[in-house]
Amino acid sequence: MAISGLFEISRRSLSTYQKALEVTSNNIANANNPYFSRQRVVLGALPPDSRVGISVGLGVKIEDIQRVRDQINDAQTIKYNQAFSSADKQSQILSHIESLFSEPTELGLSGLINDFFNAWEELAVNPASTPLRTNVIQSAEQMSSKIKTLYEGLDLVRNDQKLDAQSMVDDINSYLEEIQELNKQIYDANIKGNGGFDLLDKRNEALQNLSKLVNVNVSYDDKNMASVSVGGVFAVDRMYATKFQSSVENGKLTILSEDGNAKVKVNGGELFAITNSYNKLIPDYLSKLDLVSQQIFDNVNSIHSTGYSNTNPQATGINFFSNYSNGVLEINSEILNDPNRIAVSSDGTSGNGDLALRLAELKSTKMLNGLTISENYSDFVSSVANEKVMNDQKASANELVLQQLEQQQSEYSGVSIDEEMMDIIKFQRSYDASAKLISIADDLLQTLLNMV
Amino acid sequence: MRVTQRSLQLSYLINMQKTQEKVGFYQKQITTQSKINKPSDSPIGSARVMRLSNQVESLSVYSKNIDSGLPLIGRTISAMETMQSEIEKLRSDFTLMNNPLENENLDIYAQNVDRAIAALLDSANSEFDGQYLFGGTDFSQKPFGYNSTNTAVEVKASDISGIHKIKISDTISQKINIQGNELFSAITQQNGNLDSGSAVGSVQLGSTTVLDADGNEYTLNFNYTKTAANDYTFDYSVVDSSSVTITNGSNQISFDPATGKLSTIDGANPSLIGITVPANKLDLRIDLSNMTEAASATNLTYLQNQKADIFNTLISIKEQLNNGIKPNSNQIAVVENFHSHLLNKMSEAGSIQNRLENTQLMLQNSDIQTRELLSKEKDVDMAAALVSLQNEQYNLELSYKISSMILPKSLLDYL
Repeated sequence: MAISGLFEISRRSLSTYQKALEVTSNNIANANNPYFSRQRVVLGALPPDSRVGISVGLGVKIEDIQRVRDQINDAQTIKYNQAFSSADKQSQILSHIESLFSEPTELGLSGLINDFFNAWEELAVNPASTPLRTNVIQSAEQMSSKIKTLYEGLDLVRNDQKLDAQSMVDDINSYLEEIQELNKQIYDANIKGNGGFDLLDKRNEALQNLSKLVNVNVSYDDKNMASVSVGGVFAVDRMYATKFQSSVENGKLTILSEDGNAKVKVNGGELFAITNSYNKLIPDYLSKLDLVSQQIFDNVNSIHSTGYSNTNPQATGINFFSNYSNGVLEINSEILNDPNRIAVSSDGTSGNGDLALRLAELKSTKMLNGLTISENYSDFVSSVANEKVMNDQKASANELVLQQLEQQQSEYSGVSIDEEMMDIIKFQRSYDASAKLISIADDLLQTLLNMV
Repeated sequence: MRVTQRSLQLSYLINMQKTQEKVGFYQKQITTQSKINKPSDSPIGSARVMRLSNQVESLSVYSKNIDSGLPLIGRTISAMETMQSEIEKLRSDFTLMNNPLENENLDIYAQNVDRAIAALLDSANSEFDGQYLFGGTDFSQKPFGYNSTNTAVEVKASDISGIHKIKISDTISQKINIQGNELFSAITQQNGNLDSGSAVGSVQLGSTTVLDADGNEYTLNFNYTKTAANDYTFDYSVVDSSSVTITNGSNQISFDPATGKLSTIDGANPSLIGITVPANKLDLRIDLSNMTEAASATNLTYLQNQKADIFNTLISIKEQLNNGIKPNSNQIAVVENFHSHLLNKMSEAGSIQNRLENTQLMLQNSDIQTRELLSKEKDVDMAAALVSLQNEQYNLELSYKISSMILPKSLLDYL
């Protein structure tokens, strides 16, 4: 090898370590980027010059720059994202529903139903008393108002889910577009021989975010192109991206492809919590509230209508509640206008409060499912509470797994400043040494020139 | 294990988050002083809290009901004490007027009887909080008053037999009145079984003696004729000492086939059958509520609270005294009988009062116990919560300190 060969080796070495320092700098710069995967420079020796007898290497080169990423961890994160987001979102919705009950306080329906029946008990003490009759009406109004508020609240939460679903489907469409675009860019980068590592990280971020919204299935082809299906319906690859829409069909919230031909089977992600609340949970709660209210309506009226009012002339056959429909328990307007229309006398005498006592006894009468009205209501509240507790627990369990997965990924793919600083020192020293080598080669050449 | 900046941060964040959650949990418990602020804090606990809170409310209403019932029964007792005092004076007068020396003063005794009638009538029409004490459940008018000719006292209210009940526990509705008819009316209560297997047309008979206001005796005859399964015709007649029927009547009665209890009289809920013959100063009631229908018949028995009504008997005594005639033994027996009947009713009212007071005490105990259970279920053990909060705050501070010491460090700091 001629002396000039030394210059060549040093030049390659300088450029190699400069590149290595660039990669390390990029790692350090992204140390706190959660979706960044650290990159590793793989150095290799240049093969020796075979034309000479004694084989001497020609210096250093960058064999490869690798992206350090645990793909299995990514797949698991996608899976647990769906489970966690679904349970967490369901818990949030239930928390909203739960707050509508105002339980266990005196403002809850349980206390107001009890107050309503207690008011009849008090009326039995002096059935002709107008203040006690007014007290019955007021307690009925409070109970009726709470039922209405609760019903409207549940209905509002249900309608909110419809709006949430629409905005969530917009987000899904936007992520799908982004994934298609990134697929294209990654493909181009591959052709150019550029790893497109940052693009891969960005696509991974989009996939992770998508999996929080809906259940997805992700597969990769030999060119590392991601193909995604949403709820069993093809969603995106490099060439195509499907758009989705939400719509209400027969009272059920459904997610369809934009052309309406494919129906998404939603069973994970926040969208599942939303559709489950809209299609199943809230209608179930509304029917339970209807059941309690209808029991009050039917049983109070069946007793009250047999009694005699405290009016002159007396009247009988009066219903206490005039109607119950969609959470509105209407008190008979005649009674609202004249408390003496309350009919608690079984024999027509003004002091007879037999029916007030019978009405009060409804409080402890076993009715549907062998439960009292209050017990049926309490059962209803417990079912909401239990559903929330179950989802909280499910969310916590999945969150723990996700935290561990994130921890593992950050241990594997994350940037260690210490490690990078060591690399910087290492590469810097190598760079310094290569520069020094040029100086030595220069000295050697100078020595030779001086001999001439 | 490879340690990176981010894995360190994550680990710190997760653990600090957990500690902060605990701090928040204890802070909420301390500020609300309640372990259960929403149903999902404890689904079973909140159901229990709802039930116990309702129980506390119900106990408070029962207690309030008793507070309202006690003065009413107390006032009833006081009215009956006034009546008893008047009757005591009359009994004393009846003893004194047996002295032949008093024959000239019978008009003064008549005035005493008149004053007693007025006092009795006033007490019988006593009211409390708009409710006539002896008016049953009809509070629309005074229960007793003179007829249009001022010759007899009659029942003015539509019905004085109504029972006034209040609810004093989940299962007990307590009667808190002495009905006007049970104190003042002459009621003949019939007891016994009618044979449910007897043939249609079979008859069961019975009779008893009643008195008019003048003390004259009459025979009250009954018979029950079976007309169909569970149905009977109830016939009655009142016959004077000369075997002349002064009144009679008939009612259709039915028994409940399941329980054998009387279910209707003339198609309506059972009530007293009234027999009033003003010309004979006869006013009495028949009570069939204890009659039953069973597989075999028993003898019919009769229970009379009094043989004639007190007001008209006293009016008759007053008129006789004004005419110089002393009350006969039957009339005095009616007054004596009313006196003992009054004492019985005072005792009954006293026992109602006692029961209300005892129930009040029981309710107070139940209230304390229920509140205690509610407190155990709901209230926070403040000392324990404060200690736990303090402990978690120390953990959090320690965590902050360590993270501030370690997290920023890297090789960079030493180069």
